[in-house]
Amino acid sequence: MARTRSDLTAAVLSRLGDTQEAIWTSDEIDGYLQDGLSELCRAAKPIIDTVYLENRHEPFVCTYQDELDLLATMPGFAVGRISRITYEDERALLTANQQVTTPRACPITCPPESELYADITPGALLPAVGDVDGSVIEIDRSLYDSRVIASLTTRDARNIDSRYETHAGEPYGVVWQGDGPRTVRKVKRPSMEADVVDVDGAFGLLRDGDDVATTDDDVTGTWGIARQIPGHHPMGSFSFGTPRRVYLDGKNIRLEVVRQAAPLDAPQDLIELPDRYADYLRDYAMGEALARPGAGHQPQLAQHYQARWATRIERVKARMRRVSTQRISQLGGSQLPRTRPPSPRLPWPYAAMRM
Amino acid sequence: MTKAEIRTKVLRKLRQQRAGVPFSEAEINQAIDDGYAEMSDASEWNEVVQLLDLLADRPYYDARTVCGQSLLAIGPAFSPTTSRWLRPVVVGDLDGNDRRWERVVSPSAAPDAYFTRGLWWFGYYPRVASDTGTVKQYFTALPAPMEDDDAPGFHDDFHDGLVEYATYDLWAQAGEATLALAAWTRYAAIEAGLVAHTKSRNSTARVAGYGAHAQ
Repeated sequence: MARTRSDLTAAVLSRLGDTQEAIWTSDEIDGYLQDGLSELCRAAKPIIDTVYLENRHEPFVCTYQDELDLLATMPGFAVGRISRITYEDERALLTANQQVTTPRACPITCPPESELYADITPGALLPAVGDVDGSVIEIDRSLYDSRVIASLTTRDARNIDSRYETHAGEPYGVVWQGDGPRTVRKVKRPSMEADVVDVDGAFGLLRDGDDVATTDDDVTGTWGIARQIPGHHPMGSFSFGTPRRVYLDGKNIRLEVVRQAAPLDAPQDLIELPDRYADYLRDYAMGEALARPGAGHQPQLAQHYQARWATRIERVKARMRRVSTQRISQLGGSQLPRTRPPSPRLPWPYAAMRM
Repeated sequence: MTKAEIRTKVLRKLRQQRAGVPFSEAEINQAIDDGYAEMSDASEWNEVVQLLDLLADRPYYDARTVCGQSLLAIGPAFSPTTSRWLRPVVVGDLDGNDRRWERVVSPSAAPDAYFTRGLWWFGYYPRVASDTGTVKQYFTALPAPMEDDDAPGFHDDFHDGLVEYATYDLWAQAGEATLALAAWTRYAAIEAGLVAHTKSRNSTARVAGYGAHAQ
């Protein structure tokens, strides 16, 4: 059973001999635990996850009359954008004409439904950017159609194609620069819309693989909910629960990212690390608590716990590198050099031989 | 030494250092358990092996579901189909050699290499075409917690490490920095010995190459 935040907080307070919270409060310890978790994830990068930059028309949420007016003034741009109304009153704001022409309010909740409104999508551009959430530390790999594509800087992208932001075609790279801290740009702008799965039925949970028409796999077990879909990596902070969305690789951009662990917001929140690594946080919090000036200040012990923390971070890093250090390398690399081939020359005794 | 014997020794040691030991039996047991976990974590002496079923459509396997929460690290892998150890590779190598390596299917219905992703995800290359075949996957993991009549799983020479760790841990909890750090120094020496023993315990029996031969 994975450790919860309250497990570790109780352990720290107990070890500090302050279960009554006379010197250290549980809130303070919670903060230290969160700091330790963030630092471990930032320094050792143990968590790899998958994110999709979906090549689909974006659903468009419309909640005010002003937004509808704005859309109405630029029909060419708004064509294909799908708006979603959230209250029945909003529907009343639309005139009868607006309900049948652009912009159109459609209760779109998932990509397959947008297929029903294909008549309003021609001409619409696919999004050239996608967002990653704030937990993402770095992009480790990027793929399009299961093929590794380049991670470019804006300078690279400009040098390759000065119109990279507008040229459409098959994406060959991603740029995580220049569009904001959470926005990743696709180079080129995708020209083909990604496929989506057809879901049988209209409501409820995904029950088994057969609900997703494009997969054809046997179901393991006979009851309960679908836990995993073959061919798909479980995404998100935890791998329990049922899959909520199914992404297809074909014409989508898949990012493999290094991310932070799920935040420890509530006492029952699970620590997204195997137990042994969660226990590291307990000693980190001990070190921080004992380092605080005032009652309970123990500089020697604080320094000791901080040194142990540094050792453990290095231990995690070493385990992450283990396969890399065990592999057998080929002298000179396993790829052909990417330099220009040598110029053709005459053999050195050529002149003498002519004589 | 069994855990009960270790506890007795810890108590004796604590009493030698300070009259009136303010720790309960449960606290001493907890300190011994922590020491057992720490020594096992540092040395990775506890190797486990699992026979994994290969799945055609599994991008990465999760070591946490194979090993459980006791997982420490992912180890090497062996294919019973080909009777060969799989080559350790990193994803960067695979990306450099074939940008579409994820779609490569093994002609022999067995993978040739393994790689890790992060701390607990791992995968095999090339993938298999159907859900057949197995791989013997090695891991290091924490050992099961000891009962009173259990002895630590590692060599007897290093059992005193648990005594020193428990002494250190209990004094640290009591705020006795000098006593705790002295015990830690003694513990660290034993831990280093166990780490060296785990990594190179057969090195003296090894036959050297390049003409050198011990007489």
